[in-house]
Amino acid sequence: MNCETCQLKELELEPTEIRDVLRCILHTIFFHRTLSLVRPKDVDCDFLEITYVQCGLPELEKEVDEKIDQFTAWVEKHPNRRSQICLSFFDEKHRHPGWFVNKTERIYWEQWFINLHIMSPKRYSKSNSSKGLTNIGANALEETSTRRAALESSINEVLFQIINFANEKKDHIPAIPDRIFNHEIMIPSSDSVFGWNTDVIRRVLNSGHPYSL
Amino acid sequence: MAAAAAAAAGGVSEPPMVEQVITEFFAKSLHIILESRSPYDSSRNFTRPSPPSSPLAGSQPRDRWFNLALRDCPAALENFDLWRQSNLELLVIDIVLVQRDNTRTASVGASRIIERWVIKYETSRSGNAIKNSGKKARSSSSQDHSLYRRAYSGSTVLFRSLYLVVRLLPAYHLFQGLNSSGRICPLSLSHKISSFVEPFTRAEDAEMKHYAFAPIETLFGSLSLSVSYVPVLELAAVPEQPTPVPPELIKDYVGSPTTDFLRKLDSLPSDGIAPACFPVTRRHSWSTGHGVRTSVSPFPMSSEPHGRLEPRMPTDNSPTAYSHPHNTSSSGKKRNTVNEECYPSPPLSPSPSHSPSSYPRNPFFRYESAPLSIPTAMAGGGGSRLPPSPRRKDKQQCSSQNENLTHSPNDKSIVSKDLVKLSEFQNEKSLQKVLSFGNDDLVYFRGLKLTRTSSKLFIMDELDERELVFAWEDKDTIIDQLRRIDISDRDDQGPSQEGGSLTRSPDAAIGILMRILQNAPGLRERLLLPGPSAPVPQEPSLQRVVTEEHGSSASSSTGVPSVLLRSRTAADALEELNKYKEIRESILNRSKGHSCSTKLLEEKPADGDP
Repeated sequence: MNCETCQLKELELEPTEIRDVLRCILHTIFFHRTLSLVRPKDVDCDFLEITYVQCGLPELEKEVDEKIDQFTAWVEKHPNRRSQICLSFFDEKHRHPGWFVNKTERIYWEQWFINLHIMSPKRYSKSNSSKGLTNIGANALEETSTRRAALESSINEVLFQIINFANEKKDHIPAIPDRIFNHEIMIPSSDSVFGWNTDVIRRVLNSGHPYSL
Repeated sequence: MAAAAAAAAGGVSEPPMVEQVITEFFAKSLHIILESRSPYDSSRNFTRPSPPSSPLAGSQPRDRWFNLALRDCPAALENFDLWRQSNLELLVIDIVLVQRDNTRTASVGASRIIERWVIKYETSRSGNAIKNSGKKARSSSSQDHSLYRRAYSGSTVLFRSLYLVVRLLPAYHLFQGLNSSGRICPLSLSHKISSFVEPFTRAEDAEMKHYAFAPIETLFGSLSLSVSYVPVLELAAVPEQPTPVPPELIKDYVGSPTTDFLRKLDSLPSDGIAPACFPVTRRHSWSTGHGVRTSVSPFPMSSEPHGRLEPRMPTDNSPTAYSHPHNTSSSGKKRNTVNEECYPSPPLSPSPSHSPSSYPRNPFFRYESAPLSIPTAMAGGGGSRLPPSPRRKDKQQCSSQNENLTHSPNDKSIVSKDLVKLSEFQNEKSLQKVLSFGNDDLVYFRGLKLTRTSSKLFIMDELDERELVFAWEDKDTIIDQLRRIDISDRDDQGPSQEGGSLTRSPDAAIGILMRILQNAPGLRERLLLPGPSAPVPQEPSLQRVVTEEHGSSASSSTGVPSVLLRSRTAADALEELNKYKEIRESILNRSKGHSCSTKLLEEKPADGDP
């Protein structure tokens, strides 16, 4: 089965925005690839003027939040770094057990790569004068506002990138199940400075699957 | 029907299953778009409650189509199946922004198309049909099924995208704003459904952006969905979220105690009695919203040239007036000279029907009861607990004026003086309060020192430290409540004890509060007691702090018929008690850190004691 991949545009964001952004992107992908009956749930971002849509599946929300928590913890240990999160959809095939081969084989049919550049928030130098502080505060506020607006615009681009990809590439989608497709969210491993890729390589080696990257 | 039309047009027709998909494609598109563009209340039959937790629960037959459960939106689907003649017809949905013209009586105003959705099914006589015709001949049923599945799954994905896109476009924020705003807004969203495209003008077309979804291919054609939208909605009258108003100095502040009354009208018992005697408009910056509470309080202080913050006096001759804290040692001459200054007009002019008996009947205010005795021993002797301040002169003048008025038996218009001395929190932590009442139930506040919690820092900057009136955070409420307590407390005192002062720490105030609660007679009997002559505040350096309450507790107001007073019930008393409890808790919490200083003040005589 052909595995379609989509590299999403990189987003520059601050740690406080990780949750909003990842929720927005991951749930948007899931919404487009959960083709069983869903009752959509509109969600407004906490920090951004963006409304996205969830599938309305509490278990999925929980899973996404847990992964985001793990990613946030990783970011704390590895600040100011580019990182990648991969959401993969796969089918499982049962195989006869044999040497170096697992009983179930994962056949990935779609992968979404979310590229993030997490930056530490800018620090502003202290000033002795209260007026200076006020100005700095105003500037910081203005800068944050400008940056947020730019981030919102970038996220909109990413969302439309998802929409375009999801609609253009759909012949590879397996038959619609009565539940959400098999999937996994890979985040940079906490013990690896190379991100999730080592995890993927390890998994590919273990499964023996011709993983296409 | 549709198949026949398609056959007539191209000589080929979609399989029935695909035809059904096409029909539902139009219906679902319309539903999704209007669900987030057409206000809910426009639907006549919006009956479905909140979405069930399970996607399957409560799903309608149409929800099953494309596995997307939507809210009921009858406006989108009313008669949709009836008026639509053919799948070959375009479905054009124009989202129109209507701006009502207030100058016209008609509700029709300027309208502008901000979104245009076009859904169409096009047969491709040469493309898919020829390409697939051979296959169809070979295995008709399996081919149909495959096409059906393909079109269906493709549409399922597309509708998820559509569902998201309608929320990403600018019109959605407008829709949200209009829906969430309870106010009457000159803007509204409307929609127009048609089967043909009215071309935009060149300017409109140049302004719009376009987005087309990937088309869904069927056996003999394709389904496409596109939108043209205005990327930036520049709306002058879009309802905005209330934004905090930064504190600012209002130099021409014309507030008076009457504004306090009026504000409290908001929290009057909801007996349906409206204070009709008040004009709706008020000239205060803080009175812009009846019942609208902003997160930041406006700043009811004015700045005197010499750096003082004092409330400006009203300018007309209404009875309402207020004086500054005074020194009783000041001469009568001085008092007279300030008379004019101390008799400003209230910003609100009560209507002629505003009789004394129509003044507030709030249970917290017992105007008719005897005024609190204020130790006369303090009357002439100064005995100010406040250090001298440059403002003393003015205070003396104004308070003297009060004294004059309250002593005058004929002057019933100025009957009250409510002085709350809240000296510097760090220095004394005392609460002083002098009240004076007239014979009737008219209550006017004089000698106001207005502070607002939100303007605390500003006050601290501007005021003389000694003059710094109480500007505790969130103490407005406490002060106001304590003032009321004082009023009721003084009810028990004889009219012979006129004037005087009391200095209270918060703890002392709590003690008084508890005493009041224990000994309080029924509400009604006390309320209906006629008040004796007004006592005169004697404490020279008393300041009065009038506080505003943002909470919902009822308070004094003018113009409320006395029926209100007589309709107090046990429930009202319980509510009052609960409020007192809250006050007590609040005071206790706040005075914990200052127990040392407050202890000293606990020794001072309680309310009414000389």
